[in-house]
Amino acid sequence: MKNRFFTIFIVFIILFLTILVRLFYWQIIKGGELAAQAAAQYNYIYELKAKRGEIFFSNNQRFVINQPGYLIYANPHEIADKTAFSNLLSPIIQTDPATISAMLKDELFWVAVKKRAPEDMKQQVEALHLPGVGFEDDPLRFYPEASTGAQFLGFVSKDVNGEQKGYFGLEGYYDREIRGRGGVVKTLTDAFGRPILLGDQSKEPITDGRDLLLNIDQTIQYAVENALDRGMEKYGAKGGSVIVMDPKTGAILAMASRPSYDPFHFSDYDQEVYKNPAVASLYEPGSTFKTLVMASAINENVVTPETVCTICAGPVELGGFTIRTWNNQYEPNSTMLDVLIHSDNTGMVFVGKQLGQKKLLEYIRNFGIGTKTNVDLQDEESPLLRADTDWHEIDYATATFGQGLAVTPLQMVRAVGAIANGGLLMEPHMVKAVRKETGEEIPIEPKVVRRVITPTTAKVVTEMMVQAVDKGEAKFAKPKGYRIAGKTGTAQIPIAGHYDPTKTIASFVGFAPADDPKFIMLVKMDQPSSSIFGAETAAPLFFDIAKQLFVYYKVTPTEGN
Amino acid sequence: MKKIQLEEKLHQERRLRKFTKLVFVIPVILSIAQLLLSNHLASFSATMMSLQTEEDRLTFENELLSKDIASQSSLTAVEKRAEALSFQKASKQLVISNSEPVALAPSH
Repeated sequence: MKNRFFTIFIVFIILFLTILVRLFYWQIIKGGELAAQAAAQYNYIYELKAKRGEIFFSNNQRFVINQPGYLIYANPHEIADKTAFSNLLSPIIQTDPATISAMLKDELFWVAVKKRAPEDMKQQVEALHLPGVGFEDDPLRFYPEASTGAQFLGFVSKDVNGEQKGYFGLEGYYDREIRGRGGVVKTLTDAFGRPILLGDQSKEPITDGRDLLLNIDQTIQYAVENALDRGMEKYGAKGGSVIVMDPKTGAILAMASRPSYDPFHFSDYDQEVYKNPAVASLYEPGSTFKTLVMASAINENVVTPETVCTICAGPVELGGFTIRTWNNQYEPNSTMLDVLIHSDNTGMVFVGKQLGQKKLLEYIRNFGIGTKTNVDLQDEESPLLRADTDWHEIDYATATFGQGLAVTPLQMVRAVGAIANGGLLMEPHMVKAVRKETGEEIPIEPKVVRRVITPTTAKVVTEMMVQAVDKGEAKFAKPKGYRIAGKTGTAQIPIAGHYDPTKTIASFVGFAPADDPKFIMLVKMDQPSSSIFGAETAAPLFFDIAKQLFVYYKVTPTEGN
Repeated sequence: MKKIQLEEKLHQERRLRKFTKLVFVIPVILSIAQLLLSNHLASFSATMMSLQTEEDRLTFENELLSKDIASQSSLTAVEKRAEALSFQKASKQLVISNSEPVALAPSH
């Protein structure tokens, strides 16, 4: 009897030890792994994507907004008839059926059939009820004004991590501000995936991207874009740019260039067009530069509008080169005013000699030539001025009439803008304010870079520029009754070490009304074929836009109808 | 004296019984309350999920409507509608000064 009890006791001990060992195995040895598996089942971690900031015109109308977008994918293993599948999908996603079929390789389980698909496309695909098709969120940008302002807006694509990133223009420059910061939510869930409120919860909040409120005026931008299209066709130009700026604040009111592209379908275009010519393309400014040199000389009191040019009777020989006027006509007793009106190159050489080489370079730099304007666009470039030791006599001479040195259109607008603004050089800005997700606006204040010339000099040169418009080659296109200060430019294009006389950059820079400018504008046409001259291409286009701006700003004629 | 002592003893026993009852009853009540509350919170998560779904749906609709509004108020769309309504672009501007009667303004 005693032995039986003992045997049963041993059996129970063995059973107990077995259970203990198994418990030790599952709770201690396998415990970590099982806890991790359980956590994976009931812990749910998901990322919250921040909304990208939107871009608004100065009147708070939407310029660039977000829209729902999708990546459409397919699982080739679930598609029985790939040909029929491709044929059904092809007209909706606008891809060739053969291309779709080629993507659906048997060894793959997930194939991106269409990226950046808008909502209507997704709904059409959904309606087909095709097997193996799914959708992932892929937010898109929407451009209500189509390709307006494409080059200063830039576009949004993906970075190496597959996250949205802005490239070029405003999207690139302000990418960190407008992309926002995503959040993370970690929560316990039940078997149906519903959060358990009593469980552990943690949340890193989203910060949506900030919106940009631009200085760009919707109406002016629209007018400029249309006018530029008309001008390109009428004058047969290969390219063109127009910039409109408020000279008193540096606010860019409109900016347009051709050729352009559709920022929604940016990948369909050559990468060359992504660059914004208004801030990144270099050209020799030609006669428009004369206004800056003349202003410099008047500011130094070395000439006045009445000073007579003593070398204007004929071509000027300099260092083995001959400098002529554009039409080979010479006025022996030209005053400085006449030099500007007739756009006399020899007269400008005279001005340069009076000013002196050192002062000429100093003023060129003070007007911002050779340095970036610091405009808030990603792709700005600036040609460097030659080192002082690399300037020869002929270089100083040609610089006085804007050849032999390069500028960007925005540099030219900013520089002449100093004349319109009483001598103060302003920093140009696309953005008026950055709007936080709370609605609070952080304004970007106008910034004075430096004083270049005195207010008196600015007034004198303005009057000379008004006379240049009224009596110069562009007088026939000028709107009657308005005082417009401006200057034409016809610059030959350097090709392989020499200038091609048949290819020019035709430009016109001006501001109006001259006595209290509401705007300064540069119109630049690249290689117009109807005429090589700025007076016959860029100037009429300038005046066409200016007439619309006078109506928009309610500026009435001051000199009779 | 003995009677008083007996009564006190009885009184103490009654108090002890009451206390014992409380010690058992309160936890039971609290357990039931906790069960009900947990159940309510757990089922509330379903309500939360449906609210979240509704919020997502409304946000999505908002985005689509914003896109529509932006499209309709773009100058490109306005110009097209103006053309369809036979509006014409002004080819000339006439400025009428205050000093001159309108009837005497030059005709164009």
